[in-house]
Amino acid sequence: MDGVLPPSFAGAPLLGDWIRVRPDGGFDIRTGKVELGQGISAALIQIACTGLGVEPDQVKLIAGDTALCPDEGYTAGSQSIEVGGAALRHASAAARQVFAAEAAQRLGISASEVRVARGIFSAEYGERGMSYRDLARTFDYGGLRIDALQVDSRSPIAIADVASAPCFLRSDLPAKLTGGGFIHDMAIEGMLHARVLRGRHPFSRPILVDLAALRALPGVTEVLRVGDFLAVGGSDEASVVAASTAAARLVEWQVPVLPPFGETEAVLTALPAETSIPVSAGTPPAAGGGPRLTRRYSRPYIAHAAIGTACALAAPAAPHNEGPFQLTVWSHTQGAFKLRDQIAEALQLEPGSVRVIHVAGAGCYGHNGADDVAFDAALLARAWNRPVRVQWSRRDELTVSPMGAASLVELQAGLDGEGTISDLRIQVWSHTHLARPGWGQGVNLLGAWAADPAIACPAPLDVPLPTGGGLRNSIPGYELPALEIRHHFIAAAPMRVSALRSLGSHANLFALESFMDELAAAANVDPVEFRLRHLKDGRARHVVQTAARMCDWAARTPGGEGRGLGFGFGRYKNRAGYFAVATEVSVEAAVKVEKVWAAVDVGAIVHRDGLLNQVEGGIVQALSWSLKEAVRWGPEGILTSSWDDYPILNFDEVPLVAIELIDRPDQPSLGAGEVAAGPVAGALGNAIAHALEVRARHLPFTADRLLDVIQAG
Amino acid sequence: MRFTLNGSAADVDGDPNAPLLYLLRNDCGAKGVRFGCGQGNCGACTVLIDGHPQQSCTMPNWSAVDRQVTTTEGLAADPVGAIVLQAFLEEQAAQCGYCINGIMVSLTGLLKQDPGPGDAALKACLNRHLCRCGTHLRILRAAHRAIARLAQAR
Repeated sequence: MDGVLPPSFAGAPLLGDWIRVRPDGGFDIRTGKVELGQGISAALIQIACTGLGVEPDQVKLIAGDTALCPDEGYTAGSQSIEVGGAALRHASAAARQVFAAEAAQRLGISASEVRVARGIFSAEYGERGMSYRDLARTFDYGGLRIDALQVDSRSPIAIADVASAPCFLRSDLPAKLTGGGFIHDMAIEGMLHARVLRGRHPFSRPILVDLAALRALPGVTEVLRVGDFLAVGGSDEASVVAASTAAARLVEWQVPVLPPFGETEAVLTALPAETSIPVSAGTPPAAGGGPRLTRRYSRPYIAHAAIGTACALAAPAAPHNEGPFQLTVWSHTQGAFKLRDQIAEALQLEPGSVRVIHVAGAGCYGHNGADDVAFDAALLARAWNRPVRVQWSRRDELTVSPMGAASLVELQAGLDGEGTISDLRIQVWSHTHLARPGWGQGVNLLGAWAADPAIACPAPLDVPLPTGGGLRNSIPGYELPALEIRHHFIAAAPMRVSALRSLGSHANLFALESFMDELAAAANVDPVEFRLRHLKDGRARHVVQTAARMCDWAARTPGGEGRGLGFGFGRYKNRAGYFAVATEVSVEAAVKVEKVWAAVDVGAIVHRDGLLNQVEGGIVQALSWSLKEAVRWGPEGILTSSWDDYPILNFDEVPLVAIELIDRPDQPSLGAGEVAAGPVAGALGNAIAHALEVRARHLPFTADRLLDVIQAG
Repeated sequence: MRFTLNGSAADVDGDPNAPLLYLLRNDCGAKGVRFGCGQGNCGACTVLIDGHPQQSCTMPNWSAVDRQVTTTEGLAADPVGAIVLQAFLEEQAAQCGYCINGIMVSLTGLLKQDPGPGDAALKACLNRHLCRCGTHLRILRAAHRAIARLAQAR
């Protein structure tokens, strides 16, 4: 807390931007970071309560409302604790100290004698005291600039520290588990239900539309066609859904010409690319020396595939005539302010006349359809001058939503005479991993591209290193005498791509961690030992050694008999959480993951239970991607459009998972949502190689594909 | 169309052939019945019909007539459902939470018929449900917690 001011205060500098004491004595805690199902609301409430010296039943978290909350950018990139948590930690501590000073004055005691519990300041716990509410009446705390307040983390005011507080329960779960709490559950009086009609590809266009027949469908009272944007609406949802299904025979769609579907390597290398060399360090050894290895790895396009489909509501005026807004939009967006600005731009409104309010959606694993459906609802609400609720279909979710980008990675390395890497050359073929509304130039909203010929899909722009998009975690965390990274950036993608959990890290660490095992084998060194030879960072070494101990790596058998144990390591973005993992598989007709052991270091742990949940979830999801998932297409469009053709990991296939959390109370708290993806994929590939003595390098590891690898090998 | 919803009489007009999901959500206010796919594949829409788990997205309204329909909203008032709900809250068995209502309804149906199911029966019940967030292990722990509590109560 002493030192650099958290960046979130730049746009929200006043104490009252973050903390308000209500007339009833409770607290409104305002944040720009939203609950996506990752449990951040519990962690932020815990931080705020600890800072203020109050209990969770006294506070209400208000998040992602452009009229009420600070703008903290996107809730993404595993930064909610780092950024949002840092802001609330600082703001709540600042509030506590300011109120404590006021209390000291009013109680006639010295500041060092003040204690606070349940929001009551007193000289000793339990004695007569003054509440935040009592004190709030006496000075304008809300107008105080945070950067002018001295926040001393060693303040003598005794409150419980974060680490010793019990884990706060998630305040959003009781509603979500009893029939409410999701955006899907909202209803506005007089609202219309609507479905937007789309083909089997985000850039499909309706070329023949029988508007009269659409209007005549039962329950349809509104039909809108604006450019290529086509929607039906009515007051009965079931009828509107039936109409959207019936519309299949009333609309003919033209799907863009797509390259032939095939292996990821073939698809990507056939597309035009721009080559650059963003990393070139050290001196490669002179010719000769030890063995050299070159290997290629890939991962296909992956769908977000949340269980709940994207949903949004919009009303053409503020509800109940509050405020100056011409348009209010409810969305499960990760970036309420950016969405507001993009909707305003697309509809030619002043940003200040649009209000976006975050309401929880189903699982969010990156840039999904939330922003697009919000625009759909906004456009329709204005066109029909009614509140409108739009929900996407399962097919929409799997076809027109942004997806995770496919990637091809080639690694080439030499080994010196001592069993370490002499040099490493990496080539990455990838698309952009970011196309969110508000990123780069132009408007990034699917419906806007369809409705307005003046709004074109912007040229793709990837996230540059050091954080990287396609190159995220391409720079190994290992010590290397020489490293070159060559990037073949493929701007034109056959699928619509944007951010999916961990961005390029899944592909890059899958490739690197598989390659480390292949190099270790060539050097005749144990894979874990090989990694340790190249790791200097103490925290990295510690997670590796911990995971190795957890799985009893030392007792690992030679393998090749259908049972395998594989290892993986990574530090997300090379600056966030550390993660080491071992997976045990048995391979008969298919790969069965039996058990996973993981060691995690994310600095100072804030909310232990939320952290475990995120890590476990990340592991299971990474296994699903790596074992089962690939988007497929044909000339008629995207073929994977239901759970039947895009299966995900089911209850039968989930392994046992053991996680050890390493707490570092003196280190900054880091995000954990994206640490698992790449290392888990690598560990899986390594376990399969150990079990079969045959190396599979191209995801997904379905039974059919492994059979092909075995037969070829 | 008359049926019993969570123990109370319901009488709703509507298209007898439309999916029960929308009637329950929009006309009866049972928002815990959730749309996930509309094709009976994910289990988010699961309700109990006379105690049996069914996917309401692929059931026509007429098939609920004169039946006992149970949704998430009816769990708290049910002796087994309340234990299931409590177990899920105690385990904090949710990430996004969208799949959980359907799973709790399915489990309640199973445990009302068989309070001590073996692994195979439990897996068969849960295999009708998809979870994308990777909460499977917590869900299993919550199920086992509910089973243990039911055993204690007997």
